[in-house]
Amino acid sequence: MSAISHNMSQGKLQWKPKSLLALSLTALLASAATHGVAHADTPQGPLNQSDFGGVGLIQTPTARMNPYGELSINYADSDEYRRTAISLQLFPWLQTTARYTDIRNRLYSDDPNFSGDQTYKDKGFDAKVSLVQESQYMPQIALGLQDVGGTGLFAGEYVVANKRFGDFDVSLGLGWGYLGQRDNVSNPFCEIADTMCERDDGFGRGGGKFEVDKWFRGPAAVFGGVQYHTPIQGLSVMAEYEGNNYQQDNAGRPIIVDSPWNFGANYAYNDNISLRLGYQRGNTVTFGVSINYNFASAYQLKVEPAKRQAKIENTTPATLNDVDYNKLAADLLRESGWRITESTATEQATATEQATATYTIEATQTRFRDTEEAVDRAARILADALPEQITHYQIKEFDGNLGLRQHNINADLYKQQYRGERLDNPFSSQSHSSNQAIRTTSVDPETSTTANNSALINNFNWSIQPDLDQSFGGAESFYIYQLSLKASARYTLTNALSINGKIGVDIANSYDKFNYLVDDSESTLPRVRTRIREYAVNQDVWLDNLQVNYTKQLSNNVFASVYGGYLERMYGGVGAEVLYRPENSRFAYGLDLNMVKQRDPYSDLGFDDYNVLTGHASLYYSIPEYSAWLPNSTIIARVGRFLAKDDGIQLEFQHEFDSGVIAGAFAAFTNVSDEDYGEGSFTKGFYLSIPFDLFFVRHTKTRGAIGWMPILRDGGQMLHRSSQLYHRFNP
Amino acid sequence: MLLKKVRLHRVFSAISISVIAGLICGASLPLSAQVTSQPEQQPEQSTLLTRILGKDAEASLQLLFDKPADVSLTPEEVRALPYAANYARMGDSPRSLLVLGENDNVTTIAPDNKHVLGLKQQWFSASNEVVETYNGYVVSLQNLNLSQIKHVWVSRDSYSPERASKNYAVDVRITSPFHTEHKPHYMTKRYSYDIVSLNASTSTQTDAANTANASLSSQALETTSLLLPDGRSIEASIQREVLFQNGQLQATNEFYRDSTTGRIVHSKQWLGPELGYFEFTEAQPYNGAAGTLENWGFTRVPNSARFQALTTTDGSDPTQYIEVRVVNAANTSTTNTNTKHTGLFYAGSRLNQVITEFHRKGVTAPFYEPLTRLSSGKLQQQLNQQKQALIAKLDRLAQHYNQNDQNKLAMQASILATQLSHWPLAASYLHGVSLANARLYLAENPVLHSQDAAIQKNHIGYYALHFAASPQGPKIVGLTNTNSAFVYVIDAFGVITKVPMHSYNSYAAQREVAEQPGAVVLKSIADSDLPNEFAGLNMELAQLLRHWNWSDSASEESVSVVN
Repeated sequence: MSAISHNMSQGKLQWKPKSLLALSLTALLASAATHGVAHADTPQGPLNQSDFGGVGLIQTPTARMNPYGELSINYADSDEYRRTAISLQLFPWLQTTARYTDIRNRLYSDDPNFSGDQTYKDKGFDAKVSLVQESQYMPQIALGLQDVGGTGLFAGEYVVANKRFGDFDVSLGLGWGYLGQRDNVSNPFCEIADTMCERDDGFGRGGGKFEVDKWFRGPAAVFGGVQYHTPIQGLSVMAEYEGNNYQQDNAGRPIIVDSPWNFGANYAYNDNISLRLGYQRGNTVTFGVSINYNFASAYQLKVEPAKRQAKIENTTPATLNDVDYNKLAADLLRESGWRITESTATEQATATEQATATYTIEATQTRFRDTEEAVDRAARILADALPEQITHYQIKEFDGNLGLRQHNINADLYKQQYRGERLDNPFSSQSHSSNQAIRTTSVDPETSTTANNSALINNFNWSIQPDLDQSFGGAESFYIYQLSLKASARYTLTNALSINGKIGVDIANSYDKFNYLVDDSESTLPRVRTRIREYAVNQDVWLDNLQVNYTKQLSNNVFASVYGGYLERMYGGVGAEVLYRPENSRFAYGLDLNMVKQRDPYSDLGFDDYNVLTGHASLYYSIPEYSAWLPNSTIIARVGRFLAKDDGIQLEFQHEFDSGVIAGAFAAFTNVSDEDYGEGSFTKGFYLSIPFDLFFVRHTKTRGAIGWMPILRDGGQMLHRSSQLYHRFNP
Repeated sequence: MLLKKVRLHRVFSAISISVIAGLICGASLPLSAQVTSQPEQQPEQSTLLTRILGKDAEASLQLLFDKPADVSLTPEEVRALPYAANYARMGDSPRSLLVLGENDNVTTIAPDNKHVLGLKQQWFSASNEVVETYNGYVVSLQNLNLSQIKHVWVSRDSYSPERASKNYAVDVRITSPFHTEHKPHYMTKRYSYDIVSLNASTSTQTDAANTANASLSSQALETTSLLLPDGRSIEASIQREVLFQNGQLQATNEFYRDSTTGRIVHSKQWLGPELGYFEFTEAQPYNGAAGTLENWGFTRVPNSARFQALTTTDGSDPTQYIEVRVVNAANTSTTNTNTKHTGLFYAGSRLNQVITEFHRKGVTAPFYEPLTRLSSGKLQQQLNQQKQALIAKLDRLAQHYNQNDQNKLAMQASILATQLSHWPLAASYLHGVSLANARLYLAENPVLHSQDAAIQKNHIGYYALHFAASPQGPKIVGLTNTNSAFVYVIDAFGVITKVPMHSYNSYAAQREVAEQPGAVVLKSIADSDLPNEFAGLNMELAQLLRHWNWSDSASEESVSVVN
């Protein structure tokens, strides 16, 4: 999980402005422009990825953006550097890239006992923001940052413009830092302020910081190129003029440059696979491959019962006594995923009639991720099955004894629309659409049976899942894995009380590559997370967690839980959480407090000496869906005390794509100094949460997650609580 | 089920992705089992496979390996079918059995210009897919269970065996480049063909140059003996239509006609490159005739006359009734004008009753259902108010530009205001009416209330039903001479799409959205040139253009395909 920082020279590069010498380049661009085909198009589908990952030519970026939601996994080999990058078009205007560069002629560290013959690996993160859209005369313009927050070997900034001339797409940019080493143009900012003429060549100890004070400083270079989309479907050829001259590269040996020009070809075999070939620096043949997948459009066809349509032949029962409740319950489960809770465990169960001609069910959603869809389906079933005198349907959505939401359906209004009894006036704002007929409110626990039912349920569930733990970038071996089987079980005693646990069984792992159980770090922090290897190597069968949970809904919008036991692999103890979540509000507020003790990696059930009181006040904010910049996104801020008794804040951002895939990132900033924290400067991580119904023909709420924390350190670490109240509303 | 194969294709690819993704995730198919104490909500028995794989994974695998076979019945079984039924096959997908649901009267014009009654028939599959035929010629396929294509409409200029068609158009409702399964977006893609009709004895004349003056040969048609699924062996004449596109032969339609009844008993009809041929074979024949023609509920209104407001003369409550005014622009008559009819119905009648009644005396050509519009007196008043308000807004916009010395934009705003006042707009509740779906689903068969229609007390409220012929293409309105970067496309179903139109902001498949038949394409002032207070103006114009009246003879472009 960790690497040691190298190359922290503090030298400064003196830089002299030069006149602009890019005439040959502009001449080429102009000639390409005049030969453009009259009616070529913006290319369809995923675009060419540069060696660094992200839309570009060969070494240089362009102003182009991939389609929204496009994920691109890239590998590029350019002899000295082998780069593996993941690039995601997070928003139509924002491209984000994470990358490992393998520098094959440099060793991971000077100490062969530590990292053997492993070659040097460098992490990097890029972002590119679209500033101007292409129009008839204006080019598309983008601003980019390359290799931010890392050791900065490849750090650079750029502004680049693209204009299409028929089948030719021409880019012209200005680069700083790594992209400006050729120094063929005067830095325009240098004219404004002298401080902009110099760029500090070194990076702060530990890396991982945004070194804003270096951006757009020092030497600058013009770069550019052209991509020609050939008449052969999927094939394009490229030529580019680089802004980097490789004089400052630290690749273990000098990189010889015979030409500032690079040439390449990209062949998109289909929307998912592309292959690249290049000839760079006038002396090196390079190749690359990209695999693409789109999170916005990803979908799996479902073979579920279709949504019901009102039929003329359907007749509703005359009275509630004539209702076939067994069929109603079965239909609700089969067609809409609602399992009526067994709060009233008698025959028809579950459904209670109220004097006000309101028919209420208390139910758990078992399959549909899209609650609106499930409610609409249920409303149709209820409209078909219940007598006409029922004027309101209520679906109280429960998870255990917590009433999550109450869906109130105005039956008369809903049926009018469902049965075509009223024409929808296109000029009226008060249209009779189903949206108007369904309102969502909070559940009153006082009046809900499920919330207060303490009857013994005696329900036992278990499941076995394979699990692959992976860690990238370790010193001894770049890739360390553990394949295991995880057996999970949940014993539900009552709606409020349950016990759940998970046991891991090792199948295969490569932990024998470990040389050190604990990193040789000078940190003064308690080892709250960095003992991970001790846990990994000591047990073939281990208890992941085993805990008792008790939940209670305190009022319509206040939810609480108390839990205790072995809470996670490294900690056990007791804790409690309260969540205040007003329905129909964009905000929610949480508070959790946990008294935990570190588990002993050398025994199954024992504890070590370290204990800590940790907890956070959390603020959840969902950004409006119609937001122009950040639609379908949530921001979570947590303030409190972390595992190493450090105080601070964790910020988390997540964006949900149409397919249900969630991309998220978090960072914790605590009162630990950079020196004490060690490499990386602060804790940060990324994750993807993938709904399994992208892969199944039936709806399911199950999700899988992939997480990545570039560097594991002890500062800014949170307790992994397995059941968080907010996640019950937003799985 | 029609066309399951095409659908399966998709599932195949998706599942292979899932395996890859499962590996990448490091968390693959969950193995789970459940013990629970709720028998009444557990209708499905869990199998060993379910317990091992989980239900979702099992269902996915079943779909992968489930290969549906052709429906195949013995002649005895066919004869025992209680309903008229046909075998249907799309492309090379498995054969399915469709059952005749409804018959409506249509008229065809014999060579002596006499109207002869025929039948429009609706055939239904078990999963409510619909095939509509007009004298045996396919006119639509609806509710297709395909991942990309939902409906198909076929237009031709003759539905009579006596007169050969010259034109043939297949309109496919297909996913557009803007479509994702999470945000569906469909477009109508048209394939147009020239027809050369021939029989076997003239089959050498498949020369593209002859397409212009092609006509049905007067020679005797080729005949063959045909064994039908119910065991009957009949003599059938074969009629072939060779379809050309830009002089290139694309496909050949074949019609096998029972020599004794004149009915098409087997046919192979081209539905465009995505779907291929549709084969339709009579299994259990329908031997009924056209229905009763007495006491037709409609009265012809002379073309020169206007509709008159109706009142009750016996003192009864006018709100008990509704008047339905039908303007039909889908006629095969040579005059090429609309016909107008008025009918009186009880308030609360459903739409399909009105349309079914209108068919009773026979209609001369099928309507292009996507362009069917339903209006009411009340709704038309609201539309007119909106129109006036928008004209005033455009005038204010012109003033605003003038004050800022933006003369060209000011002129454009004035042009739009003038145009708007002349656009033929008929307020519509619905954009496209499918008679088949109206018969299947209540939601698509609205109730016609009197209170939605009434505008004057003591008068009977009216609804207006507009039928249109197959459109020739899109209708371009607004600043037609400008080279807009974006246009607003309002398709036949009322869906509004802002479509990029240049090579620097779009690709060809995206621009095709602006080429849909039956779409109105609005070219307007660029959104970026609109001042903030007028920001939504183009969308407001587009909203009004959803009510374009395709059956208005004043709208010169809405001439039917029919000659």
